[in-house]
Amino acid sequence: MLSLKVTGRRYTVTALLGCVLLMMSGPGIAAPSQYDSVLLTEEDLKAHGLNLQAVSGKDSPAVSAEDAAATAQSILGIAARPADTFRILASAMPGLTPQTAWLVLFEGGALPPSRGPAGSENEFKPRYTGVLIDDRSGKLVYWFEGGSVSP
Amino acid sequence: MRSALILRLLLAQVVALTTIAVAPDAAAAACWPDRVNNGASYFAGTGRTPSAFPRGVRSNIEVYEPYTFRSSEVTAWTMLHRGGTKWSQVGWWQNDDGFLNETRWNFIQWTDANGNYFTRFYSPSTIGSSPKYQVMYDTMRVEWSWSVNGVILHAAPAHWRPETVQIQGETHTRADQMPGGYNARVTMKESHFIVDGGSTWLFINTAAGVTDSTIHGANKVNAEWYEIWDRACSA
Repeated sequence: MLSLKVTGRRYTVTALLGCVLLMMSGPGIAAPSQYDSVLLTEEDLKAHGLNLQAVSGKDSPAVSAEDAAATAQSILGIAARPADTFRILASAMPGLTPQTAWLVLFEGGALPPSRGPAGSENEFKPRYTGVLIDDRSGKLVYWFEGGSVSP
Repeated sequence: MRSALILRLLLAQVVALTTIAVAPDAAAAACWPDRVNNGASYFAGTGRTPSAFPRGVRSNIEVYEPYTFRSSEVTAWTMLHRGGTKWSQVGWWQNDDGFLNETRWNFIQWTDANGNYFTRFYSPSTIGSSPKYQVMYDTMRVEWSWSVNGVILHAAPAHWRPETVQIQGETHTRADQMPGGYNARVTMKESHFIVDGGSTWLFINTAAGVTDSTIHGANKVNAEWYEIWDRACSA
């Protein structure tokens, strides 16, 4: 698990979706059964190499969605509210047993670490930033970004 | 008289605070290049387009702590690519948050065939270490994989086939320090590639180069060992 912090990165958050979807299986809380983020579709996640598996039947999370979102904000060093939060099954790295985690999604993000091959001049439009938080320990699994690139 | 003394003391404090505020934090940076910010990207390292399609590139790249301009970032990485918007890379990344606070990560980044890019961040390697950063293209599974010191960080579908390998340091303004100083050059050792159908890793063995030779340096020590540095910095 990672417990490192990114502080104060510039973000080009353009708008909030204004809707936080929670998928929690704690007592007394409604639990949407499907991943249906508009910001990052299931196909987008597959392109990231993140294949969703069913979380039904798994133990209740020890960390709330709200706490996971707060951790994600702290790690990224931003105050923007998440666009979506979902509980998913994910592997931190290939070969590791999938674990339940909170996927906290934010609209927009910073420019990528690299601008591409030497000699290229690319334009970037960051579209989303995602943070995976272990729903038992509350620690960072990993975080990721994505968007579009054009010459 | 007393008020004049107080005024002089106050002025001395203002000068001291002003001086501290404008000088870079030397403890957080190897060297301040003292160049004007221009927002342009610079590279130092090497690259090669083999006669056969490459399926892997690797290098032991030294992890360095460069001076990073406000809100900018400095990286060093290995890459497979096919032109300007198609690339797949792994390396280390240092970012400034706009307040001279630096954070470091290992990262992977790749693109698909539709103009989308994907980036993932992992715990950083130790400053001064030289992890092996490796990118592979699996021709059978049509899949990328990225590893640091042999540990696979991730695998994802590939949507295009690479033609070229690169191993570079990268900055995003003249005001950044390219990793390394002329007396403490950042090394890129065991720089190899492997081609489709091949079973042996080959030396990169191409010339070293930089975007701007007036501010950065790159040297080919031998067929598999390169080094890069910032000309404004000794260490």
